[in-house]
Amino acid sequence: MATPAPGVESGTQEELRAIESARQAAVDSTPRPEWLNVLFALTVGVAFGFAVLRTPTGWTVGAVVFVVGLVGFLVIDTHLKRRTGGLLNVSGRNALRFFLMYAIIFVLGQIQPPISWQPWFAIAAGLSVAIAGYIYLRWDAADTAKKLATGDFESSDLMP
Amino acid sequence: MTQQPDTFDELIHSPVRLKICAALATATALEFTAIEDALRISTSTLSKQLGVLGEAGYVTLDKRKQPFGRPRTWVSLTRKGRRAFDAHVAALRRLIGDDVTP
Repeated sequence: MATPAPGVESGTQEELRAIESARQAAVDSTPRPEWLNVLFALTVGVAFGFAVLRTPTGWTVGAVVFVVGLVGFLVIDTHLKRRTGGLLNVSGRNALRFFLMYAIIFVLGQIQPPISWQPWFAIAAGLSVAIAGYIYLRWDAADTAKKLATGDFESSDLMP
Repeated sequence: MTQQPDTFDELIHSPVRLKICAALATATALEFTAIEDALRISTSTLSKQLGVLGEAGYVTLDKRKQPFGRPRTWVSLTRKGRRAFDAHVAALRRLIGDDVTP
């Protein structure tokens, strides 16, 4: 292939840089609001906290909080959303992250603390799940944003 | 018009349209005002350039209702548009001897 003239090359590189910066700008201007991630993680944490009280009332309140929180999250997310087309993150790194988050939920769910530990155990468990969930959401969002901005995906990977 | 692989596309080559296509390539659809904010272009400029891209069959505009509030306009690259954009980027890379697909 013939070497392009210096002017052509710099113009082309400028164009490629413009493409990269437009991609980055599009990704940067359309993230899910951080407060929504925090709110959702807290809702899941509160629901889990009620559930580990291990009483019928606790289970019921936990289930209601979870369902209402999930529906609210989906409605608000749909309303605020400025992009469609996330990436299904099936990387090994993401699987490990999900496993770590799920392991915290699983282990805390198996513990049967003495009655005297409540409600502090429920509060601590709920808080742990909320923090783990929030870290997972942020980590996954950052990974996806990086891939979208750099074009490190196939167009068929974009989910509607 | 059928796009050949690695074809330089004069329509996409325009700086504003190039940026619009690059932004749209990161999603299945972007909200109209999100493109304005990301690329810092006016509503009239964006409408005009989307009209040009739409006439070529590269983008589609879709007005959708929201759970609450006013309907919003969503913009998507069509399959033809995405193919043309990918081919244009590949052609640019080829020009500078960097054939790695983005």
